Amino acid sequence: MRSILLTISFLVSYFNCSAQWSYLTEDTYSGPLTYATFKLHCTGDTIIDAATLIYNRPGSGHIPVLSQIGIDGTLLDSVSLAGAIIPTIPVGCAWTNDGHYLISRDSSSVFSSIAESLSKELEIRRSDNHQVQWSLKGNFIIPNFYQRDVFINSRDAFWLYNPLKNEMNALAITDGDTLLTIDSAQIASSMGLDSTYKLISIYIEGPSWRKSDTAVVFYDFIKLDSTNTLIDNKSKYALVLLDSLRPISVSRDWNMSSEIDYEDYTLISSEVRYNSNNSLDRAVLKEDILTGLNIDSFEVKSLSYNPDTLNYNPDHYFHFYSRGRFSFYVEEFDFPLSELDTSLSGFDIQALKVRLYEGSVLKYENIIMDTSKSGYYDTKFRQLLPLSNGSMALNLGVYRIRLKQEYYLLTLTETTF
Amino acid sequence: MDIYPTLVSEWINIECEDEINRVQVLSVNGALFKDLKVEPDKSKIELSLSGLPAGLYFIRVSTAENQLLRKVYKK
Repeated sequence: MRSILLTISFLVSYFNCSAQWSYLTEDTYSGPLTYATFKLHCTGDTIIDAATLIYNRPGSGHIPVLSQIGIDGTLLDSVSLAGAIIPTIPVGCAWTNDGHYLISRDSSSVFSSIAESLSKELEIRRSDNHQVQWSLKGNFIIPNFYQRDVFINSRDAFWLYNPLKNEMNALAITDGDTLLTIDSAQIASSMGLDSTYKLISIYIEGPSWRKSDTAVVFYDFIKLDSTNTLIDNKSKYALVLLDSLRPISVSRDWNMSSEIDYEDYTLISSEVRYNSNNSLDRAVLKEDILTGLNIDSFEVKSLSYNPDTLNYNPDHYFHFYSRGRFSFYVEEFDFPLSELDTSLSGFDIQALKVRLYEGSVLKYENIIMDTSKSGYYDTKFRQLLPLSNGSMALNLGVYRIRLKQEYYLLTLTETTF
Repeated sequence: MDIYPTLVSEWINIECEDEINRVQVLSVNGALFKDLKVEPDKSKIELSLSGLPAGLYFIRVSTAENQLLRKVYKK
């Protein structure tokens, strides 16, 4: 698999950097009809510094496999998920802190009703022997959490949202029993609103690299009159205890970027700053969510800013993550192929620029693209998991003529240039 | 997956980890208002809800391996 590294072109801009990444492990899949799906997960506090993934490989059918990999690149465990109690493809996975993992699957691939679209099945397994402990089926939405389909907190419970009843349900990891139900009126009240405000959406943001007792919860509410006409709406966020969703900070209005991250008691977001020379930069902000005060910020030179239109290109996306003193900033952008080959003037491919900051200091910057074989391919961002000591797990998709999925486990090494 | 904003004036953004195959807009009673097949290699799209009456809708997104549903309000 390491040969795949040769197919990836890394154009390095050194700036004043004194560190570089090395690749500990990687895997890839290419297929003409379908594609592999690598889903990377951190395993929390008890299996420290390990990442897991599920991938589906077509052959005589999809074969879901769950692997666990240490950040030193060692394969710790691998098990096929085929032939499970619910023999369909898993669409989500999350780990508890006590040696269990939870898998979610769609109950049906055929849509005939709202209830059928909401129908999912869950099963909980022991991580040491992968035996299924229990499973359930129901109609629910799993609140968005770093695009993962299942969220488990450190109290060994997880939340489901039932949009038909408009309520949140906390289920126990141990047996799936409902521990707590909170309806729309209770949630509105916890945000300082009366019961005429109806919950319409919920997002839970916790640390992306470990489990936590706290998270930031974002709610959207609407208030309708007797003819179901919108007369008001509120968007609120607050720091909450995950076992009860009880706020432990004041609730504040939510009008920030959708790209946010959370570490304990700190909300990380970004804003566009206008410079005196009419240029724009994106600034990463760290807010003490208990006090609402900004405690730190640093600027990143955004490539997606279009100086001609004074706008950020909506086709480009950025992502940032934080772990301790390290911050990762990933931006998708069109890389002009003329910089590689002058005969290709006018052709762009999508590439990634990945930066690592330690505090506000840029430690490393790398452009990642795939120019292998006879063509040039869009390299799209799928996931990044920050690991300890500035290393990361990076999940990429390579598209255009072929479909390919790759993941890498990278670690930062200090080098003096 | 991310679908935003929840309160929609016209455009809604849909971002997925996986390639999006199909997007449907349904009323809370299940009536189908839009049914779009998405061109290959798209994991992020913008969808217009113009012309739809104000009210609650479900946005159903199908990827190669998943079906996702979110509730939005069209202003």
